[in-house]
Amino acid sequence: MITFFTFHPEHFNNNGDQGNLLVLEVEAKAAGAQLVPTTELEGADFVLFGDASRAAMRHYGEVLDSLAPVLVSRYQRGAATLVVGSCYERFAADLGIESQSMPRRSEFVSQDGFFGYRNTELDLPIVTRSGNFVATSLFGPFLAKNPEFLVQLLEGLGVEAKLSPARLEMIAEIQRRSIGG
Amino acid sequence: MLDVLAVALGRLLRFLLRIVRPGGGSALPGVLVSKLAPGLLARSIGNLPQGLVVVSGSAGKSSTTQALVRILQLHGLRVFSNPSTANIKQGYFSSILTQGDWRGRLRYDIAVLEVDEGHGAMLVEDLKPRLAVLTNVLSDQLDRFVDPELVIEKLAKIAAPAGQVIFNADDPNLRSLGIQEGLSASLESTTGSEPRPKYALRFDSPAVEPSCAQIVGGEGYSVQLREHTISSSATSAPHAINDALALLAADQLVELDFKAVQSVLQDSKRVFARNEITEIQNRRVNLRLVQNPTSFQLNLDEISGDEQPLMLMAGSDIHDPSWLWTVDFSKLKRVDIVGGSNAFDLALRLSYDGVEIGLVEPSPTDAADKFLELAGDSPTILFSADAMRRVRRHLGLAK
Repeated sequence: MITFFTFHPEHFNNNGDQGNLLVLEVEAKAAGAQLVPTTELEGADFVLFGDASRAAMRHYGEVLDSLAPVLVSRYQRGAATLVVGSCYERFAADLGIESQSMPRRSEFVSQDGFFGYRNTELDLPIVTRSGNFVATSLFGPFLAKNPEFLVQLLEGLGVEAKLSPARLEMIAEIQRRSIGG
Repeated sequence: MLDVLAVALGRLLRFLLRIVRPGGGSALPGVLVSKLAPGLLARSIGNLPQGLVVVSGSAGKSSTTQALVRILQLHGLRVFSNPSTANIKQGYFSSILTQGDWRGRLRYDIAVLEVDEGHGAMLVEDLKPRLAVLTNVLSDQLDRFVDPELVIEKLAKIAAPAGQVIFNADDPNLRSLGIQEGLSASLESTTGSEPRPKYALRFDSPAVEPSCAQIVGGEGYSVQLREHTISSSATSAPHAINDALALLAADQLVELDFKAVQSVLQDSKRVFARNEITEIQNRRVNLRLVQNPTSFQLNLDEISGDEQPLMLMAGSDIHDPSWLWTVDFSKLKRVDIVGGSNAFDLALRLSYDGVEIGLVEPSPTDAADKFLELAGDSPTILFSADAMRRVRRHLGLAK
């Protein structure tokens, strides 16, 4: 059994970020494991903070700030966590990552073995990683499109994953067509 | 003189392109004319005796525009309008080429233009509409608009120069514009268990003056305007709201004949390619345009999921296909062909919802040909705008 915590999935799903939970659930189930929700941020096996609108970020701003110490703790431990988009931008300073404004970049990118789509005005690293903790400006189905990390993440959660060859071919095609990789 | 030359060259280019690509449309003639005679659009629209109405918002622009155009036509007005997929600058210039005279002059009474929410502000600066109709603000095309708050800002700019604004008061985002002396339509109730429409998230609920038209759900939808109640063929609250907005706009432009209005709002086949049955190679094919998470979900909700053969297409108009992960495809058991330049993204998404996939074919034309080879008595295609254009052009269905 794998427990997961996701922060207000009804609002923090701007670009389908909650789809990462579906990917984790499907792959875990294929390996005989089950995903179960929990309200415990600190003790959850996996944590997701998706991207949200400006309205949602303002509304939940104080709550997010109050959760920063726990998130920093998970970062330091390398605990399985995915922080996406606006939440990455909000927590970056807490994680000790400096950033500057830049002209907006809306594009597919591939860097350091990670691939996806970003849409940002901050020059944060595309992925900040510590163990199985990943904060990223890459939106949407990050786990679906980064199978190597997905396998490592699942292994860290005690699941021996066997990704389907058909899906791996699709991912290779997506990368090839998006960035010519 | 420049207008005459630009129109002539634009029409020549259009003619040549039609020879090269029979049945196909292109934005190039419109682009050419907009470069050669950038003031032509403002001059042509400016000469219309009853001026310009613009319709904008995240969704429902085409439905609202077409309903308004039909109502005005039934009241004897000659209405200049643009195709729903040509709602940016070059599209209007293309429409002048096809509907204007040799000088680009329009022999019409009024223009009703569907306006892309991203391009509209720049357009209305020159055109000064007498009426702006705003449909809604959704969390849509985030790769382009970044955040719904920026869409609200763009719609405010479209509304600012308009003589009057008509808006959907059910959407708190539009209520937040604080439109002074605007006219609005409000949703009083939905039918049965239909949930209320979902708009871009906000946590306040700005108040506005009481609405002029009310949409009421029951057995079906009806719109109440003053002492009149007009039943609508709309099967969902968002479509009924579009009807009410069109009705309110028409009420500002003509003295309404409510029998004529009734005939428009009860026509169930109103919007091109949203849900269209078309004869292709002696088969009746259901074509459905899906442009964003909301319309994709609405279309999926409307089909049974057992259609055969079934093709889903995601074209190049979807810049970041991430939003496909906000759509629930789980009712589908099998999709025979997944097509379009984003076919592999769509196929990956479908696979995680447990949908069996027959074939992934990124080429829209090859996908269309292979689809037509498949047996089945309920051929159905759901496609994004780019895939739709390419398939229609390939099959000689371009309008």
